[in-house]
Amino acid sequence: MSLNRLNCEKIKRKLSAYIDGEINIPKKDIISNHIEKCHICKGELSVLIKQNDLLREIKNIEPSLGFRTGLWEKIKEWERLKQENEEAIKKTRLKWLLPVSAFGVIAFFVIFAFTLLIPLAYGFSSVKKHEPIYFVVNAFSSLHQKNILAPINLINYCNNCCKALCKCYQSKTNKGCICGGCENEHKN
Amino acid sequence: MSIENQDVEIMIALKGGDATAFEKILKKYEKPIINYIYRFIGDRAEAEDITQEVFLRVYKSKDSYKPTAKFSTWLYKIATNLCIDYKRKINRDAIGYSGTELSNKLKDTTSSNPVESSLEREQLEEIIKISLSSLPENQRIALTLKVYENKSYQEISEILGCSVSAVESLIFRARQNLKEKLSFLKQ
Repeated sequence: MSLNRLNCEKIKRKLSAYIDGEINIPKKDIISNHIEKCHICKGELSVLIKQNDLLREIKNIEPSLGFRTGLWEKIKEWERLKQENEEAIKKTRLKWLLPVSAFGVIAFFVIFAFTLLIPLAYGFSSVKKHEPIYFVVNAFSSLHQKNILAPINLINYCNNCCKALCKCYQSKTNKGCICGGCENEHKN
Repeated sequence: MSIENQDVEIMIALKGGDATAFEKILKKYEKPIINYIYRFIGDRAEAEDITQEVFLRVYKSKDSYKPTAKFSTWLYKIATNLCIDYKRKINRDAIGYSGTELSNKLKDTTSSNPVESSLEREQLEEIIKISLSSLPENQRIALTLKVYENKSYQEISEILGCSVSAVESLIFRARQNLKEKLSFLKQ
């Protein structure tokens, strides 16, 4: 709806934005023309302008002398706490770094040794000279590369161990698959 | 270089470890911010405390600062949020004044000397402060930002997180409310 067709009540609602300079030029002209002709809206505008002037009567205050000193003290205190926190985090990281990496290395060697020894436990070492290496390579093959710690890797590792053991068994005894996995591979 | 770009440059310098950059921000904004908060809170000591908190937050976020919004808008937004939090915390927002309580308070302020053309400046200031503090929170913020900080409706809408038309409506209603509260001054 054009402001031309608006009554005083609607013009009055726009006066606040009008004195704030937030009305676009065409509408501003319409309001200005209306105010010139309408003494009620003119009066309302004058009240709003006086009210604005009255509001500006509140004096500005100046920051106290201790304001900046207080602020810099707060900043220094925050920086001190931040530094302390960072040091605490560093210490915690260092504290856990050695045991965690030691545990990782030990776990790796335990699994590796277990993989090497498991064919011996089943008496398959005498079949071929390269049997242990063949076994290890097979046991660790097809692991999830993106996340080496994924639980699926443990399942893959167990499956691979079983298959590798089964192949050792087959080559030693010249019998068929006993694990069920090798048959599926042949079918595929 | 525009004023806004200057502010961004100063913040980037601060991020880069320039110790004088923060002093420049303080020099430019401490007075407007302290006055804005003072008009909202009405207590000088508290206003200074909150202003310190505003600048402390600016300092804290120097490393993560990204010039996505106008610097002054961001600064006023922090100040506004802290003021609102403070008012809610102390739970003595002047919005709680009933009509009678407010008129009694205004009467107390004006009773020592009847309202005349030569109304004492301090008395007048007190009346304006009481009237302003009796406005609903959002109306008071919008009006203060417009009248005292000369912010555009667009900037106020960004500070308050509402639309420009909502700001227009808030300021209109604030002025209507004030007109009623200050009407006795015309007598």
